[in-house]
Amino acid sequence: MSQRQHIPQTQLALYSRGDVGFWRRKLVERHLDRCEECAAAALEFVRLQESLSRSADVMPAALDGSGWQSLASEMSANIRLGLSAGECVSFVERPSRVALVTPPRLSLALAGLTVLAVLLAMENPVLHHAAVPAQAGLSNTLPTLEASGDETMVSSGDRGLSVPAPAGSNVIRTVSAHGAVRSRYVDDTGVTIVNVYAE
Amino acid sequence: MSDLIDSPLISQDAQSRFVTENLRRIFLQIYRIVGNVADAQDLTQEAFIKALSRQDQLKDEKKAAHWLSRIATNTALDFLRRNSRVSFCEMEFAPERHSESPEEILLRSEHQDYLQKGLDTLSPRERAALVLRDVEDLPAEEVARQLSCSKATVRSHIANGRIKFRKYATRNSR
Repeated sequence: MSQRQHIPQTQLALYSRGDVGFWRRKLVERHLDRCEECAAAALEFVRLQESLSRSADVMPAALDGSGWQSLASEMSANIRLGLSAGECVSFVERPSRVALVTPPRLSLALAGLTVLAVLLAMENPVLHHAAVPAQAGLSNTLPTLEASGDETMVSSGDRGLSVPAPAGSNVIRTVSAHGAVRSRYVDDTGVTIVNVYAE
Repeated sequence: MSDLIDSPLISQDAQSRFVTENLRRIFLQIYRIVGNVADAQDLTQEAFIKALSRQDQLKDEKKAAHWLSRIATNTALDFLRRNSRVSFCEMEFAPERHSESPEEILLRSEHQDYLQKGLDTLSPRERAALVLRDVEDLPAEEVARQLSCSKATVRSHIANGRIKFRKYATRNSR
């Protein structure tokens, strides 16, 4: 790489933090020794990365002082509430991981199932609809969010969890299209915000 | 974190510890990607709830921090994809920091704002790659894993992100 032929910006951007391979790095270093323009550009990339890196643990100005503490408390409470609501409405057991299924075994199993399905279809070409009522039953297990009076309730089937607001408090509710109800009210302790999500 | 993996019924203490140890880091990571306190709050909560509800997917407890970070990145990127927008930080809390003078607070706040606006000029994936590589200091291989793409693609996102950020800095040099 001659001095006249500058190093592409992408190479310099990657070089400045060691994101290039060994030989590429050597080539770039050789060029930078002789080219002030590219050396200045590389230094500028390093300076900007250091600036970003220093900002890693700095909170936004809006959360200085006690701002972060109160936000962290609110988030922790909402996470606990979200997990409790999830446990309450979760019926379906997750299947355990099948560690022994390797790609060849999986292909073999799929091929076997395909052959079996073809054989069954040849014997019974008429489709059966016995599964339909079971599908309808599934709707009972879907979580439902309800907000009425002073309480917000998440339920599924015959199980439910309700989060009541103090009686008589003026509750403002917001419903989101993503399946969440946000209740906001003022009581003796201050402003309380409750987010209930259905997933 | 070992409690989280061994027991199917996680104790509330273990959950609280996990949240407390990682809350600040995850919030800041998401904030750098979405650039907005209110959205970062909602997405941080969502990321923790997802992670703690799916703890059976975690294979190696030593990788819990990276695993959580990956869920957080995906949650933030999904949000940006859904909303296709980036907004700036609202000043809804009054700043109060007693160890700094008002001038220092203003300078720091301006610097934060300056960096965040620079990040906002990038595409969501470039921003996520740059945040994970240059702010969180993760190796490029881990960034590629978190963004579910190849190392070559992630190197391209990182390079483009750095070039755009440099252009922004040159335009707004102070």
